[in-house]
Amino acid sequence: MALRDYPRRAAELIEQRPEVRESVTRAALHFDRNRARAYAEAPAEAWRTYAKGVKDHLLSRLADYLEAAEARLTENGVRVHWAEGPEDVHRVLGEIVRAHGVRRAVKAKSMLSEELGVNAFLEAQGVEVYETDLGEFIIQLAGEPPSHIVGPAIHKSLAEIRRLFAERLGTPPDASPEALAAAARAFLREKFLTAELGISGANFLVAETGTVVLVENEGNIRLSTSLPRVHVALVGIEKLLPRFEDLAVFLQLLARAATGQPIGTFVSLIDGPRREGETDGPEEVHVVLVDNGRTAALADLEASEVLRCIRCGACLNACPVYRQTGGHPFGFVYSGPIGEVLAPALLGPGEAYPLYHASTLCGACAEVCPVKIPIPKLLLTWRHRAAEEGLLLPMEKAMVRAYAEAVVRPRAYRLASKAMRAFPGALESERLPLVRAWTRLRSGLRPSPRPFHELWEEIKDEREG
Amino acid sequence: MSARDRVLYRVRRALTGRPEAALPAVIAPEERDPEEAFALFRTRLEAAGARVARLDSLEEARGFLAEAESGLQSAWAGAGVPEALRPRLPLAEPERARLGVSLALAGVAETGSVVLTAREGRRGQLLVPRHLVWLFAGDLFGSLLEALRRLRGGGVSALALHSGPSKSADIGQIMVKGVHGPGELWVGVLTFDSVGLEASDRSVNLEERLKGLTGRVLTTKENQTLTVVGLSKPGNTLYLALANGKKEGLPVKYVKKAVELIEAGISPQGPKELGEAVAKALGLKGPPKAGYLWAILHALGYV
Repeated sequence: MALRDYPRRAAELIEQRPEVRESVTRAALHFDRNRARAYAEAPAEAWRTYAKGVKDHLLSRLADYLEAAEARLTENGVRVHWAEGPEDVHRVLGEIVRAHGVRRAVKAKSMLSEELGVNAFLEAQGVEVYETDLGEFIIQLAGEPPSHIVGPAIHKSLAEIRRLFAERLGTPPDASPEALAAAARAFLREKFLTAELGISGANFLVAETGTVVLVENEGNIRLSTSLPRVHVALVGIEKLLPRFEDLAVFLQLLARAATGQPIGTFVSLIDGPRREGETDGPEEVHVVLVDNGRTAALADLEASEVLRCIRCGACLNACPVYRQTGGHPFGFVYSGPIGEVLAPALLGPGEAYPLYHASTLCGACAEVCPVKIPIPKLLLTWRHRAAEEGLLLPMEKAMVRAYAEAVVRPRAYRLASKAMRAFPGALESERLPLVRAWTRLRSGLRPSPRPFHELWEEIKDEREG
Repeated sequence: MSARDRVLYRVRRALTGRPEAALPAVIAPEERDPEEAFALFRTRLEAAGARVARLDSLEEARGFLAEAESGLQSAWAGAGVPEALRPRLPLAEPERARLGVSLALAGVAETGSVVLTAREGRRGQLLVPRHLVWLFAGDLFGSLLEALRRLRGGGVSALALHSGPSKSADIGQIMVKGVHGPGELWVGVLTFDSVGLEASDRSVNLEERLKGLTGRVLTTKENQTLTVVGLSKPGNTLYLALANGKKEGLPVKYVKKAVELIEAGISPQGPKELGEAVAKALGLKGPPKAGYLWAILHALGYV
C-alpha cells in the first residue's frame, strides 16, 4: 500500500464508512481520558523526564548495551540472533520451523512482527499462525492489519464483530461480548495447547540481566511464551533498558500512558528457557535483535528521538486527525502522530510522503508522550526536508510561491484580499478545483468581512489608547 | 560480515562523535508503612476486579480457601504452597482444574500486583478459571522498585506479575473478564504468625535460588569475574571458579547469615562492611571471603 495515497484513502473512509470514525473516536477518547486521569494520580512529569533520560542514555551507548544484553542472554541460555531486516528474521524463523517440525504457531501481539511480515512468511512455510490477542484475532479473522498500536480492532463495532464471529466461529448473531470472548477463548485454547512455537515481541529487554519483558491484559502473551516448546521474541534494538531497576518506572508509565492502568494486568519477566526443577515453560528461547531501519534513524541526530518510543499509543488517542479515520488509511504499520514521524525515519522522507502532513500541529501528541518525543517539531523537520528535496506537489509549490510573492508586496496582498472579499462566493465555488477538493470533506472557506491588518490597527489603537 | 557485525557496525558509525547522555539516577519511590502498603495493595487490586482478604489466622485462611473451592470439582496447587493452605478438592492437571492455588514470592502495593515464579508451574497460574494466590504479609513491598530489587536474579526462568483478572475491551470497548487467563483472581494476605508455614519454604527458597545461580558469571565489586560452579551435594558449600582457574568454596551459612542480617534491616555499603557484620554474627575471626559473598548477594538482589 503506497503511503502516498493516504489522503485519498482517508477521504474515502470518512465518506463511505462513517461508522469507523465513530468507533475510533469513541475508543480513542476513552483511552485518552483514562490516560489523563492516570497521569494526574502519579508523578507523571518526573517519570517522563526520567524515562526520556534513560532512553537518551541508552541510545547514546546502544552498541555497548546491545553487546551486554547479548552476553547476559547467552549466559541465561537464550539463543541470540541478529537481523538487519525481514530476510534475516525469516531465515531464523525458517530454521526453527524446520528444526522443530513446527506446524502451528501462536502469536502474542507484536508490532515489530507486522513490520517484518512474519505471518505471511510462516504461512508460506506451511505453518498455521494464530494471533492470540483478542483484538489481533478479530482483525486476523477479518484479514485486516491493526488500526491502533494498543487496540488493533478499535475500528470495529460490536455489530461488525458479531457478524464476523457468526460467520467464522458459528456464534449466534446476537451473542453478547462475553459469549464472543468465550468463543475466541475456546478456539484459541486448543491452539495454545498444541502449538510448537510461540512468537512474541518485547516491551523491554533489560541489558543488565538479559530479561525479556512483556506487558498485556489478557494472559495470551504469558500463554504464548509458556506453553509451546519454543519461544521466539522479536526485539527491536531500541527496546533495551540499561538496568533492571528501570522497569519500576517504565512498567508503570507505559500502562498509565496506554490505558490508564497502574500496570499491565500481566507482566512477564523472562530470563530464559525452563530450568532444572521447573515443570513447564519453553525448552528453547530465542531472541532476535532486529534493526529494520533503526540504525538509519539513529544516525540522524534529530530523527533519532523517535527511537525512545515505547509504543503506548497515547499520541494516537490524543490526535484529532488520527481519530477521524483510525490507522488503516496511513498504510504503514504505525499510524497516527508516531507513525507520521517513524515512517520517514525508518523509510526515508520520499517513501513516507505525505504522512508527516497529516497533522494540524496542535501539539497534543507531545503533551501526552511518556518519553517526550517532540512529534510536532519532528513533523516540521520532515516537511522542511521534503520541501528541500523537492517533494512538494506542483500545485502546493505554486500556491506557496504565489503566497510568498503576495505577502512581501503589501499592495498586491491588499489587492488580492480585496478581490476575495468582493467575491465571497468564489471560495465556495465548486468550479474551482482547489475549492472543490477542500469542500469535499470540510465546510467552505469564508473570508472575514475585514482583513486582519485593518483589525490589527484598531486593536493596537485601543490597547495603546 | 555477519548480520550481528553489520548491525553493530552501523550503530557505532551512527553514534560516532555523539556525546554520551547521562543516565539519570533511579527515582526513589514513595515510602509506605505496612498499613498504608496493605491499604493501597487492596485498593489497587479491587479496582482491577480482584478479591483481596486480610487473613489473621489459619482458620480464616482455611475459610477463604473453602469459599474459593465451593461449587468446584478439582484444583491445582503450586509446589511452594504450604501443606495447610493446599486445596482439599481432588487435584487435577491445570488444563482441567477449576481452581489454581499459588504462593506469591512478593506483593507490590504501588501497582497492586502479586509476583509469581515459574518454579510453581506456569500453566496452573494461567489455564484455571479461578486463581487463588497466597501472600505472606511480610513479603508485601510498598513500591515496585523495592520488589524488583529483591526479586532480581531469582534463579528461575521467569517471573510474572499478576495485577487482576484477565480482561479485554477489544470487542466494542466493552470490558470482558477471563479472556485467556483466569477470570477471577483471589488474593489472601496472611498476617498471622506463619513461622511453621514459612520456615521450610524459606530455607528451600534460598538453597534453590543458590542452585539457580549455577553457571552464572558474576563480577565482584573489585571487577574480578567468577563463575558459579554449583552447590555441594549436602548443600553447605557454594563452589566458585575464579578467572585464574582457582576454585573457591563459599560456606552457605555465610550467605544465609548475610541474608538474615539484611532482612533484619542492616544495609552494608560494601563487601568489607558486610563481611565484618557476618563475621561478628557468626563469631569468625576475619571477614569471610567478603568480595565473593557480596557478588552472590548482589546476584540474588540483596545488595
